[in-house]
Amino acid sequence: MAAKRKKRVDWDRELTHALFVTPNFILYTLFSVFPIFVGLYYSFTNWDGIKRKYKFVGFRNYVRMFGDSRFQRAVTFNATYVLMYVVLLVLLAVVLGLLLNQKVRARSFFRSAYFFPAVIGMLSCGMIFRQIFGHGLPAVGETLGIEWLKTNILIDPAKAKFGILFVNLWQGVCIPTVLVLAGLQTIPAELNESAQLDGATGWNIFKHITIPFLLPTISMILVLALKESLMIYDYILALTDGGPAGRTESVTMLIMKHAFTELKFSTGVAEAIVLAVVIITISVVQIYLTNRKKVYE
Amino acid sequence: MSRKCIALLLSLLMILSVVPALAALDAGTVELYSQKKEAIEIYDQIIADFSAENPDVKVVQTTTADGSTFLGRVASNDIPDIGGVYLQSAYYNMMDEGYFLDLTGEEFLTKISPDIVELAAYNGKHYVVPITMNGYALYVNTDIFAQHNLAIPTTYDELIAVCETLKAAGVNPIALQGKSVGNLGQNFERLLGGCVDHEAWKVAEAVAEGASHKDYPAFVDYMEKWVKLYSYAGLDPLSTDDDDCNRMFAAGEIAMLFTGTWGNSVFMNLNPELKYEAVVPPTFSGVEPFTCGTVDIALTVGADSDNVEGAKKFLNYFLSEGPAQKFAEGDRNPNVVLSTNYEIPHMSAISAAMQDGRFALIPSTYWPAGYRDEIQIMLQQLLLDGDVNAFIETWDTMTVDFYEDAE
Repeated sequence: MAAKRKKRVDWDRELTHALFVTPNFILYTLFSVFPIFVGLYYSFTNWDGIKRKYKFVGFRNYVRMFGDSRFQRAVTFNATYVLMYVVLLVLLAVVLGLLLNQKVRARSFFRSAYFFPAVIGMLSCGMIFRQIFGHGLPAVGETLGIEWLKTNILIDPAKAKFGILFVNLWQGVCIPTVLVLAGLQTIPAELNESAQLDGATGWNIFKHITIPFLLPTISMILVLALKESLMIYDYILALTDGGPAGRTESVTMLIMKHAFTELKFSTGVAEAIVLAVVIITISVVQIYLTNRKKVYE
Repeated sequence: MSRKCIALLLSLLMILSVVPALAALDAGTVELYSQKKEAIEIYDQIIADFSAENPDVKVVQTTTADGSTFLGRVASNDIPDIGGVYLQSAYYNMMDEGYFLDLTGEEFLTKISPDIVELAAYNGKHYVVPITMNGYALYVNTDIFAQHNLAIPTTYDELIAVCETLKAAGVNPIALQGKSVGNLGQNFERLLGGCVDHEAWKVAEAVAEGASHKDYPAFVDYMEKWVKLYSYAGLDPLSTDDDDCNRMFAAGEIAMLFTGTWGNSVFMNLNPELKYEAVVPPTFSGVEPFTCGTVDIALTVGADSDNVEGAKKFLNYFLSEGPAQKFAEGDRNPNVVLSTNYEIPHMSAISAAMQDGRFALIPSTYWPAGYRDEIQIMLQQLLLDGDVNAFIETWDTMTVDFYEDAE
């Protein structure tokens, strides 16, 4: 009887939950889910963003997209950028998190200082570094006679993406560092102490205790970093505007240009759909893989 | 308070949070959408004067210097009550689709130079109200030229000779920017249309039909000269943007600069003491040099606007004698409102060229939408590798693609 009573639906409770969820559900459906389906619909048309009449063209936009050298170049840029950004961001966040977790003097000051870049807007940050790369560093290079510093890294087709990567990491690492710091607080102190008593080395403790406990945090950072780097736009806009000669044009920037500058709206939407599918696929796989390795639950 | 009440209260608050956004869409307000960031202040002054006389109509200004925002508004069918547009394919497409009101027969059009009203007409209808024109110019620091006893160059060879002389004297000869692709494309297009071939768009049409830009020696020659010219830039063009160039010229650090008539107000504001003249850019091909430009400020009224009467009332006021004169003096671009009467400092050569017909419409008036945007990226590549042949081959291919798509 008791078991049956437990299974009975508590309508009062369910209604309360539903009321809490309903506004978000409506807004999310209206402003997120609905536009995705509308976008999907337009990706199969030849709509240019202006004409009131358009026709269905099937998969033409998708076929053209994959044969377009500009799209291929943007995908290549994104792929290399994502790889570099995600790996470096996680490494830096873990290293900085571990360092800021040490009991050192002025620990609060260091934590605040390392968080400071996060409060600057992305575009402002890009503008500041544009001046540094364009005028500051070349001036230093001229004064000190350092050849590789004399030229603006952002106008070199081979190096421009590293300039963007540096600025993105400089600002992007702040929040992940805080997340790692928070993750480190969840590791029971007695676990580390027992490991030390058993003769575990620092590396062993890091590998067998710290990392497994940090995995949920790292998993979250990975998803966020992946999404951020795949959708990178602001820094590129402020630093290179996709140049030189389209070498730093990301897929997001290409979508924007196709849709709102070059009047290829349906092409832009098709590219956005492909990008969304890529992000969802990678995120699902990555969450699945990291969930298998975490220590608790 | 029960959980149910809290949930209900929170739900209501969330729904109420979107109310201010809805309230912003005030049906009684006329939105003046401008794409001219240099005209923000003078528009604000005109709007304030109008509001004082017409308290029943509220006008607000929205400004973006980026055409993509306007296209985004059109894509979402959110057409401004009064919109600043350009005479380019994308906007002609909007006229075709009926986004703008046909203003043919409106009394305020009679206050504008009839030639320009006709120039701005599309398929015999008047969708735009032209206010000012722009033209491309070579800005010359007359102090530097006098110090080195130099004459204003009228041909490409003279321009290069001036650059050589100034370079030898340790003076930065010319500011050329390549960082902002938009301004790079503008420079390429306007020199092409004004100093190489006044009907350059016809070549694009021929290429779309199977010809090559290589079949037009003046074009190939222009490309080579254009690349060579950039080698005289005082700073690396790819790391220099429009603002850098303007700042250098206004500070007297550089002798010459290519920009449009809109640059005049920038220089006058940055350094009122600067001695300079804007002249028609030199010929590259032997053709008589024209200033290449378009209608700079062209206003439309949204066809589905809830405030058509308010919009027309504002336009009527805007084109009346006092406000038109005030705007002309503040904007400092060649104004086409008949009642305006003033001398634009530093611009007499450009004004004279416009008045005596040495004026060519920019090629992108006729090029397909997005065509110039694609060229701009290729131009940066050209500045990097200087490979004119590769540029022309790519130009041919993209021309065929664009004209095919436009059909």
